[in-house]
Amino acid sequence: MNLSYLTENYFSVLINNNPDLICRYNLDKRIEFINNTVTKVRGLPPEYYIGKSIFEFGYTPEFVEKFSQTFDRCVGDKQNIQIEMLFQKEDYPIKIFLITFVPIFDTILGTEVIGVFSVSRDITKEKNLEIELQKQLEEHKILAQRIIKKANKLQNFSYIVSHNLRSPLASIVGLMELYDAVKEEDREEIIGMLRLSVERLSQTVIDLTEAIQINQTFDLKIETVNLKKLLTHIQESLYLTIQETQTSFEVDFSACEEIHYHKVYMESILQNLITNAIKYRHPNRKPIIQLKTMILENGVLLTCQDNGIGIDLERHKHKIFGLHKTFHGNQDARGVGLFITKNQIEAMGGTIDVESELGEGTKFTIFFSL
Amino acid sequence: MNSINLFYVIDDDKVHQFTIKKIIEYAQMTSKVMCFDNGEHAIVFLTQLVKENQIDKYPEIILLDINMPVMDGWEFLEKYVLLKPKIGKKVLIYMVSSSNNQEDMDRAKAISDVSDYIVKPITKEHIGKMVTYFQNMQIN
Repeated sequence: MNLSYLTENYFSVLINNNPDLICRYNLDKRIEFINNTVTKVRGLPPEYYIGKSIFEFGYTPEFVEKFSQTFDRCVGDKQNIQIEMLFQKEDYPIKIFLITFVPIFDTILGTEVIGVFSVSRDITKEKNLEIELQKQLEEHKILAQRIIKKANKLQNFSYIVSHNLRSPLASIVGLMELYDAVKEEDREEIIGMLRLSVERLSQTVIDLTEAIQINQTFDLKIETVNLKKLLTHIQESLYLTIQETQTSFEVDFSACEEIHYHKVYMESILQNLITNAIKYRHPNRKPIIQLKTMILENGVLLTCQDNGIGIDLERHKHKIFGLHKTFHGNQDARGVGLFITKNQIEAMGGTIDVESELGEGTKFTIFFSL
Repeated sequence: MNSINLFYVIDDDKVHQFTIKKIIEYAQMTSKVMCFDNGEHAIVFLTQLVKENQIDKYPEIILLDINMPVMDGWEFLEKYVLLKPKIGKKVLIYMVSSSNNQEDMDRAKAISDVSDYIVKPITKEHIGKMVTYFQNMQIN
């Protein structure tokens, strides 16, 4: 062992007991010194390495190349360089090393580099921990997002309850008060109004129950849904409406013909979009509904575009998917369809978005995550 | 004595429209009630009045619902503020909604043109207070 440059014995003790692998190379990348740690790491005595070059140990070409390049940069720049390197060799488990290259100068104040020290630290454990931590962080983020979504939904529900349930209830309370105050001949009319309000209240309860059920169902039965077949089925059930309004369809499911989904939801979603497109058709043209699928990296897009009257999104975007929100003054609009549709899509982890041009048409884009 | 000649009720709820009409009828007031199914109908009507300068058809009090199709109560207020200088008459606006949501209440109270926020159902006491307030305002 050539330890002549170590004037003090304790240096040798310090270096040989350092957990890091310390190595001195000449400019030909041959090892001139290596500390005893190598025996612990690789099971071979230091003597085995002395005089050999980095190219002789059967390391992977990538490892040798990166090592060699960094070595050269250290010599050229006359500066310390630190890199992380993946160490792979057939008979050893994969390890990650943090390697510091330190230029050795000819004299204390010298300018000429005559060799390089490498100090290699095994950071496999820390690295794996970091990766594990990162993974957990990502999971927590997703979890947090889910909780925020749930909280928003809850808030939305509390708003719905505070408005949609209170509205018919307030009518009833108001009418009851009126009933006591009016003359006999006016009471029958009030009873009629009461009946109307009670019907509205019970319908609201039915709608809300349906929405709550959607959000509470956890294990939804997933099956392969053939979109074309489903569409045909919906077209059959809407046969009269389609005939009457002379609605035509332009369908392109070529990118994705089948989706793994809850069949009842899928039918309800598609049926709602189609019914809406027909309901809000333009008075001066026959309705055309374009349905198209697209494959994305992490899911499937389904677009439903119509040539109907459109909706002023600047005014209504924030409430288009709300319960009992209607926009066109249509008498048969109950403002339930899109609310249910959105809930069904979100319960399955997807999203729905809308674009529209007033007087031109509306396009719904649904993302089904896989 | 200054009295209220005309109420506007802007609300898509027919039952609510009916209730207010009956309350006013039984309060033995001479006031008339005009109902609009949404904000847009009311704005179109008001704009027409301004154009034709039909001062006698301006209301003294507007009872305005929040949630309505086509144009909701908030949007009506935005449009009304633009018309207001041309109307040139003090009109009391009450927001009347079934929502007891604090956000809605705060939002309404932040609008200077809104006199008060009433949670449905509206009663004859509410109407009575409005009339008193209106009359005091005229005297002062």
